[in-house]
Amino acid sequence: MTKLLLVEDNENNRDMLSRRLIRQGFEIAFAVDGPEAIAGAASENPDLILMDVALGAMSGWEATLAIKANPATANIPVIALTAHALASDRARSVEVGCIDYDTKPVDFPRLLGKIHAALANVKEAQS
Amino acid sequence: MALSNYLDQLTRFSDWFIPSDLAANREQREKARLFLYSHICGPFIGGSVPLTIWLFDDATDFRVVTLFASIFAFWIFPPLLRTFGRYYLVSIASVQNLIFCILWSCYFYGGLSSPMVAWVLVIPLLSFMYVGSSARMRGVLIAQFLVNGLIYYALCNWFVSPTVTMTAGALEALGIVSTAAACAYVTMMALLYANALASQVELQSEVDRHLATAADLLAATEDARRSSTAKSDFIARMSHELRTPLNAIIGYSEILLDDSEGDPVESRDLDRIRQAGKHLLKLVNRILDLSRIEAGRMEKSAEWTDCGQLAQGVADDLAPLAKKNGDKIVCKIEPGLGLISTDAHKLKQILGNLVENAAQYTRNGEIVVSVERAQAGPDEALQIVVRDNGPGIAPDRLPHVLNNFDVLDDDRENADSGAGLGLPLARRLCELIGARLSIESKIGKGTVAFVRLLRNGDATLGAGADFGIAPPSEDIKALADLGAAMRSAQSQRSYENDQAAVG
Repeated sequence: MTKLLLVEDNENNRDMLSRRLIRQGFEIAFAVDGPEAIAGAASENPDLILMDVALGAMSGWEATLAIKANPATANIPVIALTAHALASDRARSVEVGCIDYDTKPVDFPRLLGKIHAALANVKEAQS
Repeated sequence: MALSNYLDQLTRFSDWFIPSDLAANREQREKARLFLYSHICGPFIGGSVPLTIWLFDDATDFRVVTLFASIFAFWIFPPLLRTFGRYYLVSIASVQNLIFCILWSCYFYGGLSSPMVAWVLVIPLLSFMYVGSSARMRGVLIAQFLVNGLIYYALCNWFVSPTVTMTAGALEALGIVSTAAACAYVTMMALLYANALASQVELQSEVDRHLATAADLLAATEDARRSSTAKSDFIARMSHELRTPLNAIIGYSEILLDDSEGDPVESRDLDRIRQAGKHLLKLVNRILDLSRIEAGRMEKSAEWTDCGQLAQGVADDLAPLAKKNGDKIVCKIEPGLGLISTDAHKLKQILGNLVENAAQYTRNGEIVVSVERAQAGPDEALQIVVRDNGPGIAPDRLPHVLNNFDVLDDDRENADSGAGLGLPLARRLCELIGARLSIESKIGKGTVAFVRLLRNGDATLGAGADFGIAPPSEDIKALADLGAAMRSAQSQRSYENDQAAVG
């Protein structure tokens, strides 16, 4: 079963997104802030990380940089979730090593498409 | 009253001699006026001295004739000033003539005990009055005094002053006339100087008052700017806070919709909650965008964009919305346009707002989106035209539709998803990315919106035109409108309205 690590500090958003993803057949692990995300990436070994960038003390981008710096977790694809569709947000997402990005509120079918595309991309790279 | 009339006439007469470059500077003009007053009136007063000599001295010879000539020679200086304009040079020449006639009269009529010695005091008084605050000219004057003094001293040593041929009584009369004339002359100049000073002080206080007003206005402008920025900041923050609970409302209604398969009533209710939430989110996002633009915090970017593809995308996205009113969206894209560099995201927002607005007011009609080469101006490269055959906008309302928060009053029930925000936002976004937005309309025929993308420099379209980015406009009034509109949006956008819109 494909495992996703959902990094999101807002409980409602975490609950909504996880329930819809579980219904799509994903297994979900959670992290509520940057340090938990870094630890979770190593311990849960997810197939993909959904990273909210507005996380409080440590931003999702900083957490992504740390995950990409660790050789054990560097290959896990990260999709950034930002509040605005700003060009600078998009640029920053690419800069820290995210494979894709999407805006919140989540358009679920679109996000699902991005998740599947990212997973296919990784599989292709591995084979 | 009569005296001030004479003074006015004298001033008008004097001013005729002042060259325009001197008249332009207030300080220079005042100096020149004093110079002219003394030259015009001076010979009348000073002339009394040679006149007295001529009357009482039996020997009328070259001494008194020269004195007459040198005193009335002062009348040459005003025309000289008008003709040549060299004020300082004319002043120095005049001072030299003054020194000459005074020393001349002293030398021939009694030396150090001459009745004309009192006039020596007039020399520095007038001279320094003429040159004003110029340090260089003051130095020149002092040097002039020293040289004249030395020459006079030397002459007196070499040639002994001739004895006076006048009687003691005549000399006494001359003394009285000369001293009185000197007094009258100094009095006249002192009064004129005092007048000039008074008008200068008045002017200065006037200037001070204006400066104080200017400072007040500046402070008020700064206050207004600060408060409008604070308002935009507040709205931006508030809008952000509003989004979080809205996301939950939309998200959970979607989850429940997924679960509620089979129950049409429940599905319909949930869909209404979801639609209302999405509608509210759209409003919040528009307000957020407007306030970000007005606070100067909206980012912009540039990327190579296929405008045809972009317009087609917008048309596809909004086709379902248009279908609700029985409208059809048609895209007409001129071939071979190539790519242009612009902010694609903002352009998409602009087009979205225009098409949505057209779809909103048009019933069973057609909305044509054309992307074509611009024809209007040489600085324009490409235009996107959104044309509908809806009800049109009345001519008196047309100028206002691009201003913040204007909805069509006569069609209020149809203005369900914009709250008058769509077109103003499109206008603001156009300003931000350096495009021109204009709207033409005819009642009963329809409305046409033009978005003209500007060419920057000599870049050519097709090979990839580069479009300039204009600075955001700083419209303080628009911010005041924003606050008012937030209030009106709150009162107008009732839930009933939303339900009517969804249903």
